[in-house]
Amino acid sequence: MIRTISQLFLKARGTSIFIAMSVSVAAFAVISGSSGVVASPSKTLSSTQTNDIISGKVTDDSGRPLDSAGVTLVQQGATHNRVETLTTDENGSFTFKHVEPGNYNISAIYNGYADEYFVSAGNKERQLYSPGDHVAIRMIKGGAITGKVVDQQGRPVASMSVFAFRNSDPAGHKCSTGWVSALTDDRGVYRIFGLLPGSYIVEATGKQTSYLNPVNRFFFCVPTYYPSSAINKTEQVVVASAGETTGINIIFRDIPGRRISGTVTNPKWIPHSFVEIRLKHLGSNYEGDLIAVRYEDQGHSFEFLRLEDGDYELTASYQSGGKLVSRTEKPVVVSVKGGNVAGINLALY
Amino acid sequence: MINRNQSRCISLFILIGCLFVWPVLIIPQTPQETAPTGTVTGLVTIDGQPAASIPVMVSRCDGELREFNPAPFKIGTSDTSGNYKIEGLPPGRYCFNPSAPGLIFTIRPGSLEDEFTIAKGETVTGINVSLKKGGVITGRIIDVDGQPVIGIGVVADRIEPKDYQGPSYSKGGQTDDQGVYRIYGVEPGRFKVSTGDTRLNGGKAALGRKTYAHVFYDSEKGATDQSKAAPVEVIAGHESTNINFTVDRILRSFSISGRVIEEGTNRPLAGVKIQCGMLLNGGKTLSPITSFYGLEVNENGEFSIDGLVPGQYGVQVMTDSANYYSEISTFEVKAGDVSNLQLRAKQALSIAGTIILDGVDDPAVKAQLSNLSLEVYVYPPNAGGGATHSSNAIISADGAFQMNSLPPGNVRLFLSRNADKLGFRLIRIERNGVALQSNFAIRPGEAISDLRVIVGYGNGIIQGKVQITGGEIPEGFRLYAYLRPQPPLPITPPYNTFGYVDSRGQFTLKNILPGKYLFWIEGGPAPGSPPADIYVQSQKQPVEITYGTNLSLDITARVTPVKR
Repeated sequence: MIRTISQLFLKARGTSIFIAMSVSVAAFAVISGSSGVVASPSKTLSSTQTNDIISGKVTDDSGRPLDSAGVTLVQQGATHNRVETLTTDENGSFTFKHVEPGNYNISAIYNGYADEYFVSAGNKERQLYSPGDHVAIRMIKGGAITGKVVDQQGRPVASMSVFAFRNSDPAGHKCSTGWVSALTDDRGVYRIFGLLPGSYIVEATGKQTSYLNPVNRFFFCVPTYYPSSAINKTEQVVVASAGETTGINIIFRDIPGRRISGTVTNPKWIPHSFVEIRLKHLGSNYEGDLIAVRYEDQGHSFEFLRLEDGDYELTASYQSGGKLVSRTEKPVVVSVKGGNVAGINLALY
Repeated sequence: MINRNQSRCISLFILIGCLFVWPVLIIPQTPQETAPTGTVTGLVTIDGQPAASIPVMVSRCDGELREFNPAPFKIGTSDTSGNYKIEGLPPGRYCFNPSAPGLIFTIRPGSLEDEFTIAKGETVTGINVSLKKGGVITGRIIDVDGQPVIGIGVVADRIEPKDYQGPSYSKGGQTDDQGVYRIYGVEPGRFKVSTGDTRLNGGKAALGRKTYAHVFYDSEKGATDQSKAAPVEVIAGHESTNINFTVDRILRSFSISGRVIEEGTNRPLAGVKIQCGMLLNGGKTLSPITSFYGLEVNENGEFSIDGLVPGQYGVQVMTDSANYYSEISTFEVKAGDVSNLQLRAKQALSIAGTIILDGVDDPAVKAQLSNLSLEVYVYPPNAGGGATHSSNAIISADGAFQMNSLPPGNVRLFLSRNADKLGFRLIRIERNGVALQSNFAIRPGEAISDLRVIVGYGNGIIQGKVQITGGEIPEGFRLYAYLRPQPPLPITPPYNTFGYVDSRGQFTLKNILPGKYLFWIEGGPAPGSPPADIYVQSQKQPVEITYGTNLSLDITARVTPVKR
């Protein structure tokens, strides 16, 4: 197990958490860990023949075609970007027809699998394709992390969210290729699967990725990292491709989380738009769980939960149609010690 | 308004701010929640025995759908004697959030025992929570090659007795990468267990794995006919294991394509959005679980949709996208792609008018009108099912509103949801001085421009407590405080208004329009509860409300057996 955590990791991890919370706030989407990780393929030889299709094939790492993989095309840089999802046929093949000239991102999902391209932490950028290109995507069977979450008395905790954040690839290079989560069952057992090989930070939290999930009594508690610690003392978990890392048991720390809440005032307020509020833990770059951005009569209210005592920095920005409209002039620094902090106003300019 | 505590904090911020980097505010931890808050306590039991370490959650439920507002709730945990205590509750009406993983909450949401009201600083005791143990259904799903099926849903539907009239009960789960699923916290009883994709996804193929036909568990291989399903017995505190499936009916999916043309000119139409779904009501309406929603056609009016499994479908132009609508074009996906579908888009309709505030001259009240909006729903003229269109119109400072992009059909107008909270109610709708039905027609080619929407305002309050005589209120019951308008009617048609009575018999009716009313208490089974063999009613008593009325009324309601 790797015991030291670099500043680089903490930055990367902060980014992943932020992705997680944006999704849950924007759509209250039902996110489960059961589907594969969205992946992006490597580019192969371009066809010299120019036409208006992008075709390709999805296989496993032995070259066996994957039937019924989902393949998504996303146009880049156009006014109305085309987004289309196809499923592969029995030969693992797919064809996007009538593709206008331009650049396209192509990604595939296959349950329990991950894109081989992303095994190496160096492969961060998604390569783009053009009409006439042939795309070869190789998916590898993902690894799994499984274990049990118990309370301080050793009793199983049900409906606990367990997140796996990828920290480095098998060669030890740092990366931030997102997260996968699972829920514990009535025995406290969880199983996170479809993981790229590498080292992971495993976090147990009462936070839910869907409001449909039942909530347990640790909902407002600070997260616990494997085996039973704060983030700076966690032990990383190594996952091999198609492997199963078992016994990743967590003893949940019963520490009440603090809350920072307040409102956002915005002179250019437009209904149904999204104010993004970021909270950063000064010192560790931990970014907290944004629980609510919602319309109120007086503006937007926000709430960050599950915080440990410490100093935090808050910023708000306001986007409309994908463009930054306004944001807080300077970050607001909030010190949390032994209690909740309410009434913070973030003024947008 | 700044209270003393806050202003002291603010001066402290400024002081500290000056010492550090201005204008970054350093905000010290302060007890800022200064409003007097209340406390609720009670006993948590599992199967009648006090239970420790059980979470009890409450959330505000005055006027808001708590499902959509999960954040502002509080959790208490029962101690070793089973007692819980939740402090720091601002005054208001609270409901329990049924969430005890693995256990079953016996309180029915929406019933009398689900609710309590807390006044400023009040401590409410004896709000007990009873839970019972659930059972487990678990098994494995593999395909014909013996490979696990990953990420497929499994549903357990309770088999009810023939004369059962209560709510249906079902619980679901999903397989992991080993094909294993585990459904826990299941009510005891007999269940039909099924898996597959055709039931709940609007005909869309599964993403990231093969799509399988819906199949019931029948102990050997899946049964497609649910009458052949083998019942699975669930016993409290036990596991029903090896509820395994081998799924073999793979559904291939196909693509459809077509174009939208403008009626009259027959030109391809760009910029409109379409929706596609399985057909309901004998082909008249689309299933609310649409396969594709809000798909924008390209500049040649063309669209294509991939991943539909065999079935009957409909596709139509969505009215809220551009100023067009269309009828539903139906098609069947059998064993191949469907092409050359054609949608004829017609010009959409419009309604304009004015909001008239009835009987109130207060400019402060009038100014509040612009905080409202008008909601419009259009229902298909000759078919059942839900609205084919819904949208919101802004009300300008002079009361004018304009609604565009409407399809023909039966129109219903409502004030936005915040109207009740602000004291406004829609009284009637007039056109050419004639009151319209609450549901009026708009026909193809029509533009209504002279609608008058009459809105009333009231701030009357009736609050009080209900005393029950003649028996006990059963579980799953609900009591309401009713008001019925009396002549001269403040509102047409004379809808009853009602408020909820909480578990301690307290009620508050707010924002009542001036006028004469009959007031009474009445009870019945909560929505989704089985029929009860009693009913509860009080005497009906006349009340008169004027601006600023605040009535306190204690009232007795009698429990009477129902003869069946």
